[in-house]
Amino acid sequence: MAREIPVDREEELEIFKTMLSGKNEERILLIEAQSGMGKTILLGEFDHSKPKRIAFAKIDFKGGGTSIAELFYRLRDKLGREIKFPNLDKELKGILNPTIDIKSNMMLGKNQIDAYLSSRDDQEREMRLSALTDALFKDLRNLGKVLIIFDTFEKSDGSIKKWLADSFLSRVQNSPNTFVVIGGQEVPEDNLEWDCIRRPLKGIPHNHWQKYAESQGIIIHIEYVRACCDIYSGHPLKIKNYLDGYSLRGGKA
Amino acid sequence: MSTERDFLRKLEKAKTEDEKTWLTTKRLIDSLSEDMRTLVYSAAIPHWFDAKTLRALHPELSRKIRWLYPKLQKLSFVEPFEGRGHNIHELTRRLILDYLWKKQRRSYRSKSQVLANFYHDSARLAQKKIARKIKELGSRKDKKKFRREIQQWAKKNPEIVNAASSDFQIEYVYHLVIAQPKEGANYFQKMGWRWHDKFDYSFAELNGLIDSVGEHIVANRVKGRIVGWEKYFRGLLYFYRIENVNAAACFSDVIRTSFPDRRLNADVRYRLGNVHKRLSELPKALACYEEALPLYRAINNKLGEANCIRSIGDVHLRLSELPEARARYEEALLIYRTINSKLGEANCISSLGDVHLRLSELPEARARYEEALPIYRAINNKLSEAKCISSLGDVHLRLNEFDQAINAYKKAVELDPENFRRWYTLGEVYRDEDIWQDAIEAFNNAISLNKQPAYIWVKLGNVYRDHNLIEKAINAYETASNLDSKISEPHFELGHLYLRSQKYEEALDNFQKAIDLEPNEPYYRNHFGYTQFKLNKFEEALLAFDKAIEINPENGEFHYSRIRALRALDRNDEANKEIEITKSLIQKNDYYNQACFELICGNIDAALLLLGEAIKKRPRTKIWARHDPDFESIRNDPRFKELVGK
Repeated sequence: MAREIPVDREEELEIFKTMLSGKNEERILLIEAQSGMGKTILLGEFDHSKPKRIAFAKIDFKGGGTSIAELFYRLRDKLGREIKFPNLDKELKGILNPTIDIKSNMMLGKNQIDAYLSSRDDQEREMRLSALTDALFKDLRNLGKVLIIFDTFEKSDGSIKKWLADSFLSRVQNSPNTFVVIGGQEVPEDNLEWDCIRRPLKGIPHNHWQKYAESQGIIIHIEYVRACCDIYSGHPLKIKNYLDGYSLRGGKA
Repeated sequence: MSTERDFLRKLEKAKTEDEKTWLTTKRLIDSLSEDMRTLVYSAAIPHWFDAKTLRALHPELSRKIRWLYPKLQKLSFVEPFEGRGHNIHELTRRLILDYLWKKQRRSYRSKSQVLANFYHDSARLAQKKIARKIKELGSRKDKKKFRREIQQWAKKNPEIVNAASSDFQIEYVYHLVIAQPKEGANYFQKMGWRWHDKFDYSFAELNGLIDSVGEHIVANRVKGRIVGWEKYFRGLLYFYRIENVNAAACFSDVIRTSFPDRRLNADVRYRLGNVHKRLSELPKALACYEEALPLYRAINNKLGEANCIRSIGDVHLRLSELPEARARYEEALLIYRTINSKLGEANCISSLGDVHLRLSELPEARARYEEALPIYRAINNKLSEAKCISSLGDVHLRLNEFDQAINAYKKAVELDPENFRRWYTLGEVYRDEDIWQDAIEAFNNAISLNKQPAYIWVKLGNVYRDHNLIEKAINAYETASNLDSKISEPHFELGHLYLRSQKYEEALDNFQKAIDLEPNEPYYRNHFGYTQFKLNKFEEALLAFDKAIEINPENGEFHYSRIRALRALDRNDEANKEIEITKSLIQKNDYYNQACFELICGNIDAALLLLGEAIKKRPRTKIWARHDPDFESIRNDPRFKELVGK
């Protein structure tokens, strides 16, 4: 359904495509905008316009409650299961003699990662996370081109935010075939260890909404569209609600 | 059309952005059919929904859901929710919930009750199904096959796996706190503690729970003690992430608000005390614990009371107020015994052992640790058992019972092999005993578990250096310096290594770097001076020795160095005066420095006798002596060679 909503985000799509083509030095794209500005839809467009032969994973933190272990599990699961992650598996097996509690968690792989990362010592946990991240990136580098999209970054928990902003992105910087897009009402702050393209989303101008209304068979005076657009500063969700409401009340061809 | 103009004018006049947004959203919802409108309002209550959720909320629409749900998905504010179905967009959902809370609170509460029941029952049913499946497959002997089969089953039944996840339990609490605020608050607290005590250290579930209930708090839909508990748990998460300032802010906020919950008011003071203790703000920590203590007593919470008293003891121990620490540990011990808290009892006894150790009451310390050990064993707490055995090792070491010390540290490593600190301690004692190959292995094991602490690399470098594995030593020191550029030890040890190798310029360079990082360390000045001395720069050497003495006038070694420089400069009267000062400063039982002193006074026999005593006391001393410039004048003496070995 998301693709039916208008997205006048040609510039952002172009930036994304140029980044994936390898013409830019930066391989990290940060899309920041307030709620309802169409981030998720834009990230969906990125998904649809990506090349076919690219390993791809999209992680949405919308539900909250995602642990780092779960994040590793989901990345591994989406990018191609364990067969493609020999280094990650070796790292996990190297230190573990896991006593897996299946009853408490059906995500067996996640449970293994959980056990690996669960040390009572802060420093040791940090070290293991760092070793696991290294192993993940060793495997990612062997996968060819990889695109990872993270959505709703602001809902991820503090430890994930820190890990993504520090360890993860600094390794992306050194992985020439790995591309990352992060979207959210908040995104990682600038860091000396990695370069990025930072793209805040702006409102969409009224002429685009006029076209959208026409494409949906909504007959509406341009003056109303312009007024609504001014009132909401081009905010996509609010304008879409207005136009849909107008349409349902009879303003339809 | 004038109606449309009126509406736009109304929008323009709206005072807030939310008001503006709601006007449009409400108009859109009002334009929907009655069934759709009903569904939109209800679908906004949970974080996600699917046809099942909608049927639970509106059994009267059960048949229509099949075609209403797809229609719902086409609305602009409805978006897919991976693995769950759909959700109302966050912005719209927030406004709908505000509206429901203000205008249809009773209906909101009753829908929340329906959802609470729905998530509770779904989770329970899913857990039962999983348990049944595990039982069914559990008889398989082949564990790998079992794992594969259960994994395949889980893949085929994502709905069951989803419903058994913590997300459903979080959603249950989220709705219960609206439907039944009192019971919801109790359950929130209970689940918070359950997930807190899970020891998975990511605290993802607890984080999810407090974020979820936090939504209601921000929207003012829940009040009272649940707000305090939410902030309390948030503070705990900050504490575990070592975000001490945020943790202290949360706890202080709870204390300021003074929620009507006596357990919370006691706990929060105790936890704030822990933050201060970690920050070494010991008087503040003490004040917090002392505030918490009567609160625990007032609610007759014995465990809280005992924990609090023990923490007060910890603060006293850190402040070296040992009689006070002992009194507190003994007081806490009685309570732990009364409530039969074995862990608390063993911890207290072990802490009493620490007090004795600090007071050099070694037999008493040993007795305490030996008393705590069987309790740890009885409750199968291997980690605390390892720590206790390691402390016993410390006692043996202090009693010069080296074999027993090594055995104790080895046992501690066996019990807690993934703790780098245990390996490090074992490496230290091996190094002390000059069992250097085992020391290298132990330090390497510590490093394989935790590469970060630079001090382990320094110690490893020292073993290599002591045994002339120069390249490896340099590599270890450089790794330490790269890991932590702010520490001075790697430069000092490198300087020392170059000094030994007679590469004086490199030595000077490294000693200078160590001094730059730690200008008030007199030993660095002393070694810097000695290197200058070797370069025949006696004036510069004297300046450095003077600086070392200025920093620490009570150390005989620095005066001893000064004697050497004064003699080289032919300032013999001053040197003789310095000898008198040095004599008064070297302690009677410091055989090593006494030997150095006797040597500079020309008493070779006495020097060798004292050096022998020093080596008996601490075998590793001979390694130091082999390279110590103070013994240069007797390095070729066969008696010296016999004492220190090759």
